[in-house]
Amino acid sequence: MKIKVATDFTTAPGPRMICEGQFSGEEFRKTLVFPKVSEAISKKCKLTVDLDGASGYGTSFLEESFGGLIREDGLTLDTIDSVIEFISKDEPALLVEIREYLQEAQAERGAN
Amino acid sequence: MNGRSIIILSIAIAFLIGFLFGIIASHATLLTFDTRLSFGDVIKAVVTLLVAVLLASYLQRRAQSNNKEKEILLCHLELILDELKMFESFRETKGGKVTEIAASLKRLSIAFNTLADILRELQYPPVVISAVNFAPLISDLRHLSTETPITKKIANHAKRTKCSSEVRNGIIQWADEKRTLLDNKIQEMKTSILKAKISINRV
Repeated sequence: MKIKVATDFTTAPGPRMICEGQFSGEEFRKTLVFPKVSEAISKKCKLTVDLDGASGYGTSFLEESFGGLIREDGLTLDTIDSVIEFISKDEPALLVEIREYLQEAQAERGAN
Repeated sequence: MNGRSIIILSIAIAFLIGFLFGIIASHATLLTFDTRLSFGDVIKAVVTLLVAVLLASYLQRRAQSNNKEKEILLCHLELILDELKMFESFRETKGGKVTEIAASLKRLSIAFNTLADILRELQYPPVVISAVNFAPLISDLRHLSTETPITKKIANHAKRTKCSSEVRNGIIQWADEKRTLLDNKIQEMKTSILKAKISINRV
């Protein structure tokens, strides 16, 4: 299974929340990422999220899209690690940043 | 003056220096010259001259190629600086479209990665390659310019403490605190670009 942001969602990812503007991270997570992750978990297969081809990503978009899976949708870091595989050849540093957001979201949930 | 005339001039100067040295050395009886000239001597002289010409030409071409290479790399850094100036223009408007800011950051990131790849390909020393590693700075810029609070509660608190940003219709407005931090980060990046230029030029 695969999600290519540039073709399946938008070439111009926007802000964090739906109320803040078009093509938000929240919209991406609710309409595409979480349903696909759920499907991948039930089918026991991998989900590849390809970030290449879009004009660029803001911190909030990435944090809400993937950190939100832990914070809002109740998934764990281990589940995400076992299901999602990220691709970012254009900006390899994004992979490190996403990892940080996931770890922070997990740590925050553990603290609460 | 083009490359060929430089080579001819170098050979002429080398010949003159050699000739003068020969005259001085023979006067000081350090060297003795045989007045007869054999065919072997002529061949030796021709081969020596040919080697000198080829060596001069090779060294000249290599030096020119190295200089050209450096020029291209420095020009690439100039383009990156231009992109950074474009990013800086968002600071003057206290923000901008999230998509445009993110796109500018992506262009910066790709430009730096390309430069690092080229330097690795050309086998530049690790010191120079690390001098163009701007990934942590770009990451900081991304955090400062596109990060917004997670929940409404935090957003309200952040607004009160004037340390956050607000997004409406896809346009982000930076709080004064964020603007100052961005300012510092942009200056830091400019300094790093200058250091990278010096580093490349020194090789």
